[in-house]
Amino acid sequence: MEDYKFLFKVVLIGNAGVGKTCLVRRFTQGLFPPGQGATIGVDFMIKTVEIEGEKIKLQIWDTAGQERFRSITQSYYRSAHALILVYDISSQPTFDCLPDWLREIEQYASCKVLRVLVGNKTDREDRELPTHVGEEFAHRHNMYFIETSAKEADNVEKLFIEIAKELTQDSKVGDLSPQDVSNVPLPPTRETRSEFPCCSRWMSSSSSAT
Amino acid sequence: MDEELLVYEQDEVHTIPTSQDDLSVSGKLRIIEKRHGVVIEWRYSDDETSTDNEWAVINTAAVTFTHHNVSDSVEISSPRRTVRPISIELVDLRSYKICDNHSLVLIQRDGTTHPALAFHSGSVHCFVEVLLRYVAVKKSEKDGDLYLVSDKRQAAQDQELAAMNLVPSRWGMAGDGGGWSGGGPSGQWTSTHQRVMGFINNLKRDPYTTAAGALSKFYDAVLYSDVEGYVRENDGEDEVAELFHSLNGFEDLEPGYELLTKKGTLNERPKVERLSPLTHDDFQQYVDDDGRIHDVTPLLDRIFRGGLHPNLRREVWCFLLNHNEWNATHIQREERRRSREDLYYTMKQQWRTVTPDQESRFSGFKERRSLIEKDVNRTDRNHPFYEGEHNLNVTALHDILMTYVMYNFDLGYVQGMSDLLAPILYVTQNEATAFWCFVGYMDMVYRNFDMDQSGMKQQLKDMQQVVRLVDPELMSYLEIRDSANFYFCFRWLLVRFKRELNYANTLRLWEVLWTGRPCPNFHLLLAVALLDTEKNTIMENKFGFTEILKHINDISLRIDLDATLRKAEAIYKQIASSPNVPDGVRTVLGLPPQEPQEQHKSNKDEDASERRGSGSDEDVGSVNVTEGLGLVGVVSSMIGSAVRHLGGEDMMQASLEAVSGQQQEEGTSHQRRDTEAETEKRFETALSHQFV
Repeated sequence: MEDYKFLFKVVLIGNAGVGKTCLVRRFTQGLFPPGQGATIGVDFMIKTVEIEGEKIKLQIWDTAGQERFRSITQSYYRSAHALILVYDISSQPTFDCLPDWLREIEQYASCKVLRVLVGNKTDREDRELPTHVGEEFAHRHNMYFIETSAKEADNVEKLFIEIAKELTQDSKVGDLSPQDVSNVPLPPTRETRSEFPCCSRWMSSSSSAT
Repeated sequence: MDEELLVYEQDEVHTIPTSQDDLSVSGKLRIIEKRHGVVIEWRYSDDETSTDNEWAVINTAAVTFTHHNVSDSVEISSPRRTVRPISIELVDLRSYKICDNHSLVLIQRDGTTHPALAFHSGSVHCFVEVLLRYVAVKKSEKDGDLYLVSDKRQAAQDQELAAMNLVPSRWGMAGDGGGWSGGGPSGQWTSTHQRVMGFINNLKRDPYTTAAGALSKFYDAVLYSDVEGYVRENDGEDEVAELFHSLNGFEDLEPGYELLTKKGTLNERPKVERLSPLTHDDFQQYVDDDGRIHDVTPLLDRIFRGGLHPNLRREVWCFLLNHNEWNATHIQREERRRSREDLYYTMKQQWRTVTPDQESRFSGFKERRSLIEKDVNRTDRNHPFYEGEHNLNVTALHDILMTYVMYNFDLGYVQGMSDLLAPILYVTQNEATAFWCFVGYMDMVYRNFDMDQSGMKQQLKDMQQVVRLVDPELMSYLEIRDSANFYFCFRWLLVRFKRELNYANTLRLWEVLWTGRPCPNFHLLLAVALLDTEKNTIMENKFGFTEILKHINDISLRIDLDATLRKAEAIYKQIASSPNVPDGVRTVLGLPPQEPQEQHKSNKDEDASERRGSGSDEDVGSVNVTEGLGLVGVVSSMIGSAVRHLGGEDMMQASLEAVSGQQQEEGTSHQRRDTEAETEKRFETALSHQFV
């Protein structure tokens, strides 16, 4: 009955007001709803995408950003296939909190989770964080990196599609029988592959890259 | 490139307004055969431009609204909303509801629940007829409006298999309580077969999760059935038999549970009537010439029963929120108003005079300020009172919240507070008054914003206790579906249903809650009432944790407040009039404790729930499992450890809850310590989380 190949759970985290809900709405509904109230608790949206001719369902979870609610939102990380950590490129404090968020991830998320750093609001003219700063941070912490604008729909599709591709590829590798895997020189686990983060690939066709 | 075939189209299918201020939007309902499958679509009539676009916003100019200023007004208009087109792939359709032969609600497998559609021309039955070409539909046995959808080929295949009689009878019997009593024999085989096949399919697709999940359910089943006293302690053979009895439905055990679950022990739920809102003239009868209100009790009773007429709110909210004192004269009230206004502006000056230089060394202040700025700019901005750029009411929201930070710096600003303030400012229309009324509201709900969220967690636990009593069937369902943490009620409780109701209803609900009638924590009973309304949809659709959350989030703005208030009060009366209500629930609802012999049970209950809450002593918990449980305990504890190792702590949660329930039962029969001191302590605890 289920006509899709995979269902992946993607969870967005990051400080309050960095645009998590707007990224989700932009991707799932093509909307940038101004005046959307702060997210309370959690919510999720589903979108089906096609990767190499196969239907992939993304279940995208949106969480409340304020620190106080973390004890509730934490429980949603565990089963996530991908975590998107969002900051606002026009707000230094949202970037300064990233190490705290990483500690959260280490503690509560699966170690195999795909981690992506997103600098949102590239439409803003009061940028405080140059692209290379985010890029370096992502590189240091073995994360993928991309800058987006939910408002201008810039790189949003790409963000989620790349995640879907990565996860699909992972799942297929995971499906290989042990013999097949032994033929691969380096087991393509997350840890080893993250040494060479594909952030450059993700950023290369990005219009907002420096 | 897609070859599409339009197989059904109906004009004039309207959205159903959720309140009198809402507008109905007309659209076209279609069923289309596309290359990849059949799709159901509903689109706004004028939106002919993009049949391929998944979503589009309705031209907001087409949806008009009127706004009456509150001071001279009668009713409040709701914020305009965008209506989104619907597009559902048929494979995603889980069920639909047809109410009054006329309206249609489509529900997806993932819990997405679409807005109700009304057929102004044509008939919903024509739609269903076309639908039946592609899917098999079964009417729910519990909810006459609900129809469950299944794949047609699968249904046919099952029929064949059923005819071949491949599944032994025992499996069918325990597997589907409903099918056994209601349908013919083939019905049971089908559902059991589906479950088994489903389990095997899942096992192939995701062996790890499926196996761990099944083990966890198995573990639950064992313990839960014991709690219900169904499995007898010293009757090993029967125990094992029952275990395998309940094993048959790995995929969904809950029908088996229905057999095991005791029916609720409460008295019948009474009928409750509500009145129209209190008017200005009514109110004057309670006020003496000097402005004093002596007889507060009947006034509060009356407000509880019908709420306030909108033009009375501005005055009476100040009483309900402790800004005005009931027994003060006009003159005293005016004095108090003035001195509090001065105090407000003094505190306002405090934060206004913080220089940027100071702020650079005052990070706690800076953080609070930046979060308030972010949030007021997105609080109710679609409401006429707060819409538009440079709106002074938004500035006032900001200033009040900043001043509240100076008033209570330790609590500071927490998300959700702006939601609690916005309606108050809208009603009072005065900054200082709104501030003090907000202070009064926060005094009732500050525990919602605890740093460690313990106030919220306590409320979720209280919900659990009440639901366990009021609806054990729903409770056991939620437990099996890993949803017993009631996280899906979080938003309801944090901002007191503000996000679930339109403005008019939010104001009505809040003033009712502020009366503190008929009991403390009445808002929890409101949540229980809402769950009661959604119960069949949740259970018949076999929703799990994520689907329940989605469904609950989706029914926002579609809640019948008056009916829910009536049901909530009826549930209160039902509990209050019933014997053998556990003291845990009594404490939550401010009911007097029961006879002494009953108290031991609930003391144990609390001990157990504390243990469960601590979480860190998991091993201690599992050791306790094996004490005095006999065969079932040992077996299930072994499975429990296996599950814990496989699936992490999460999966233990529900199991531990079952354990604590078990211990509670044990406690009733043994150890009867005298517990007066503890009873007192419990009352103190209770007082600390009484809200109104």
